[in-house]
Formats: sequence, C-alpha cells, structure tokens
Amino acid sequence: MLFELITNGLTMGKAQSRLAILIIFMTTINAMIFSSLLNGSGTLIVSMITFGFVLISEYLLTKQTIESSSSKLILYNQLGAQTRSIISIIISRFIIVGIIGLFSGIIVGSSVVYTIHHPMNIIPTLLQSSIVSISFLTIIGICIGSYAAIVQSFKQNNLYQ
Amino acid sequence: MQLPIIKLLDVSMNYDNNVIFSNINLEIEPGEIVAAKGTIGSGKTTLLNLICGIIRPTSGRIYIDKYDITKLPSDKLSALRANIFGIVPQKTNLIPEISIKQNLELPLMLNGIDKDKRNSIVNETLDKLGLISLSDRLAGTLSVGESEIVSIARSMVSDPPILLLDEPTEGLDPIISEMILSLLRGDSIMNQKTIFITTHDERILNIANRVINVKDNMNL
Repeated sequence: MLFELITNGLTMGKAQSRLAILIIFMTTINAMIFSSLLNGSGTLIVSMITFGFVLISEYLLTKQTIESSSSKLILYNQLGAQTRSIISIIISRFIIVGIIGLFSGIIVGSSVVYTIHHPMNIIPTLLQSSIVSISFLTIIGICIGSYAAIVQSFKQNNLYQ
Repeated sequence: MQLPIIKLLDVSMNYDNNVIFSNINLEIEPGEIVAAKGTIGSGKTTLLNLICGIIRPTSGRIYIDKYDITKLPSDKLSALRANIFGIVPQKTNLIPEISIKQNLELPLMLNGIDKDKRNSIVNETLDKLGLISLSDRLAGTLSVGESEIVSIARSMVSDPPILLLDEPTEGLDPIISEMILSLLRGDSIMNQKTIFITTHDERILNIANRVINVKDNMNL
C-alpha cells in the first residue's frame, strides 16, 4: 500500500528529488575535502557545519515539499490514511534520495581527496574516518530535519492528530 | 425508531479564543439526508470536519455508529474514516497528474483491496455514473463540473454508509447541479446512505429530509 501511495504522487516531485540529491552530494564532497585538509578541532568543526547544513537544508526542502503537496496530504487524511504512514513515506523518500547523494558524494569526494593527497600514505585513514562521520551525520541530519519539518507542517495543516 | 448513526453531544469548538460552536447537539439517523445551511463563516465546514474527525472538538462527545470518535486514537480514527465516510470537500482535490480511474482507486487502496477487485469496483462505479468514457483522462484536464462529479464518485466508490459533502453544487451550472442532485437522491434511496450536506442551494435543501441552520438551531 505504501509503495502504491508513493507511486501515486504523494511525495516529492522530480525537481525536488534532484535538488535534494545535489545538496547532499555537494555537502559530502566539501566535507570530505575539508576534513582531509584539517585535523583535530578543525575536523570537528567541519563535521558540525556539515551536520548543521544538512539539517537546515533538509528541513527547508521537506517544508517546501509538504507545502507544494498539501492538498494531496489533506486528501489522504480525508481518505483515512494514517498520519504515521504518511510521515514514514515522506522520510523514507528523503532518506533514499539522501543515500544516493551521499554515495555519489563519497565516490567523487574520495577521488578528489586522493588526488590532493596522492603522495601521502595517510589516505586510507583520512578517508575511513571522514566517510564514517560524514555518512552518520548526514543520515541523522536528514532524519531530524525532515521529521521536524513534517511535524511542524502537519500541525499547521491540522493533519497531526 | 433507529439509533442515530451520527450523534453530537454538547459539542463546543473554539479557534484561537473565538467560539465557533457552544454545546451543540445533533442526531442523524441512518438513511437520512440532512442539509446544513448558514452564512459564510458560520461553521458549516467545521461541523462537517468535526463529524468525520478531521478536527477534534474543544469539548463534548461525537458518536459515529457506536464509536465515540473524540476518544479514539488517531490510527483507529483514520481506519474508521476510511471505512465509514465518503467525503467530498468544498474544493475538489483530485490528484491532477493521475487518471480518473486511479483517483477513484485511492480510497479502495487505503482499505487494502487488491488490484483486480479495485479495477472491477472502479469500472462498475464509472459505468453506473456514465463516466466510463472519461476513465483514462488525467484528472487535471477535467472541467470544474466534471471534477465535482468525479469527486462524488470517489466518495461513493468504497460504498461508505455516510457521505459528507461540502457545498457540492457551489459555482456549478444548473445541468451539472441537477446531475449531482439525482446522484445523491438515487444513492440515498437505493443504498440507504446517510448524507450530510452543507449548502446554500435551495434545490439541495428541497431534497433533504431535514434542514438545520448552523447558527440558529443546533439543538435538534
């Protein structure tokens, strides 16, 4: 049922999906490059900035997605769709799109980091630590940002019961 | 005398310190057509949304069949809404990017009916309402009148015992309005549907078993 609701146009359109992928893609590449150039507290600051950026951008993107499809959400509510099913569908879609952006960003970011640090022997450690922390923070940022936007928008539209 | 299928007991509703309703009581029996009239902003749509549980009252009890919907958790309320109500909102909200057939499938999908059965129910409904030729058209290409008829068809497709319609003939030409009226009258007589309509249209007020004035006479 959930899959059918997604394919019937409940969640984000193609343009919003592309934008979400691009945001995560660019953020991941930037974070990987900066992490490889800095160390200690510098890496920590890069991680926090990445997390904050993902959180805010996913929040804004989710809000925009919900506002543009508010009539559909009201319709599903009238037809008896459960609020938590709708929330799950929207968050799942953002996570799937986020993972696509994240993997693409990691592939491109790794290539750039490898090119910058080619003669050095610290590349595996650099990549390993930055990939783990960036991936973790990105996924957490998507979940929290999307969830906060969904709850707020649903309350505004009187859909959150 | 039959037990009421819709019963509002001392229901009050406030929005941001504005009192919309205060201690209203209303009983609607199965098979009854009730029309609610009132001035713009009198709370007709709010009353309709209260009955189907889209909004919860500030105080009081609302019984649908044997369920007190003011006490139902949201998941059970959603399931009840999917099974008991067919809702036609004031602004028809068909999904424009999909076909009429797919729009009609949505309530059945939410009721967990499989694809084959959905197809046959939707085709039967479209055939009955003379809409079969429109079935593959995108909902976004329909005229206002056609959209309203398809929206009513969608509310009937899962055969719910209660239909709630918010100003269904508002802004429509007389021929389409007449089609909608005969649809509602037929469905009420043939299938013993309980119908609650908010309207200003005299023709709808004439077919109703009972007319209530939302502002003046809510204790019925």
